[in-house]
Amino acid sequence: MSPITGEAVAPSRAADVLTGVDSGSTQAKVLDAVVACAGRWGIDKTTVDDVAREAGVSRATVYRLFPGGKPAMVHLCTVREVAGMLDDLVTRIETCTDLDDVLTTILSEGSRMVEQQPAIAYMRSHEPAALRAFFSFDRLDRLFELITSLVSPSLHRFLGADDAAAAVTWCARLVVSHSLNPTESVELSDRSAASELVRSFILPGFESGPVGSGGVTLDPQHRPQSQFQHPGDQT
Amino acid sequence: MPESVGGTREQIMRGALRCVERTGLSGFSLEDVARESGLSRTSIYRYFPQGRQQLITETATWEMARFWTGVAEAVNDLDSLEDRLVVGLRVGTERIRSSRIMANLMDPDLDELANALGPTEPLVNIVIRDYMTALLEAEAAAGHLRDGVQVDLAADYLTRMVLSVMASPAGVDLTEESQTRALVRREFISGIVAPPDSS
Repeated sequence: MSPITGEAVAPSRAADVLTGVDSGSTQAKVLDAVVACAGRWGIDKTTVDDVAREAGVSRATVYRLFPGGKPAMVHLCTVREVAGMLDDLVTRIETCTDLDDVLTTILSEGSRMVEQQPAIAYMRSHEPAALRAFFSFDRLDRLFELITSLVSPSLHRFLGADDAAAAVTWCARLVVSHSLNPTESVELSDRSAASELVRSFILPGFESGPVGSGGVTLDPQHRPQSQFQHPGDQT
Repeated sequence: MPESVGGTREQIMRGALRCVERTGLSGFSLEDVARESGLSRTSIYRYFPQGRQQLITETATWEMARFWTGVAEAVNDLDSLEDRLVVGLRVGTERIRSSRIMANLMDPDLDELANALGPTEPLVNIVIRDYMTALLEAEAAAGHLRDGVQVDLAADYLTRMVLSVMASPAGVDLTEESQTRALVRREFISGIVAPPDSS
């Protein structure tokens, strides 16, 4: 899948673009029904009949809209839910005033979204193995790729393209790690805990001529260096 | 005799590993393991009374312990935290790549593997966190850490980064020392280890 550029996505949402499912369509209604069922009794136990009933359409309609049946719907749902969270995250980032704020927002808002997503919440308490499998191996690679390609353009106000991508992957690692293996002392959805993590371990990496890419200033007054400016990134 | 107990357990788990190498996680039975380890099905049930799932989980735990012991041995003689992280990530990646089990895994096996490894994960976390805590305390005693670093938070952070980067290096070739060193300097230790000139 080709990375989505800032221009290609705006003004539509990545969740719509990546799935080809427009919000408001019957397809979207069916996919929302899949998420509702998965949040109630898990994806394994959800049947096409459940989904049809929840969406208020016939079983035949579900199969006409999704000839691939349940596996196709589950795949589209996953992409749509993840991309939808990232759309919301990007919207939140637009209001951030500096890099510290951006990174803290990614950690805290990202963690909060993962915590509150109904299907993930169900898996966390009933099917932890399924949740682990979702965040494993090449699925994790693809997830990090998707997150980085969708979110990093919104950091180009503060960082060069390479640093922005690195920063987003870095934050995504911590969100996934904390949501799979929570530490009682560090509750990332809590903004002050996220902020402490950012200031202790992430910001220092952008302070003094980071390895492998151009130096970066943390002072919003000095941003951005023109050679790093992303073409589709005007604010 | 305790030795022979450990010995037979290991013999069975080695047999299970050979089965997984050949057929993947889902494609073997306890009969296959019995044949492979030269024992009867009854003796396998004596050591793994809950059967196949118990055998898989405990073998995964045992293999995981061997994996991390190998990584620890490779870095134990190195001086700095930075070098240990750089070499540990490289050695760990090389070991994963050379593992026939990982190479043979087909997609349907992923869920079962994640299932088998799931119970070991909290354990792996604790072991690595303790290892990081000891390293950081030594670095702190030597005056190598930045002011205000909290060892417990730093150990938790490093543990997460090590496990995450090993699970998905996201574009970095961890067997290339220069790339790994750049990654470690920035994303692992920039907030933890004091720059050499400031101490």
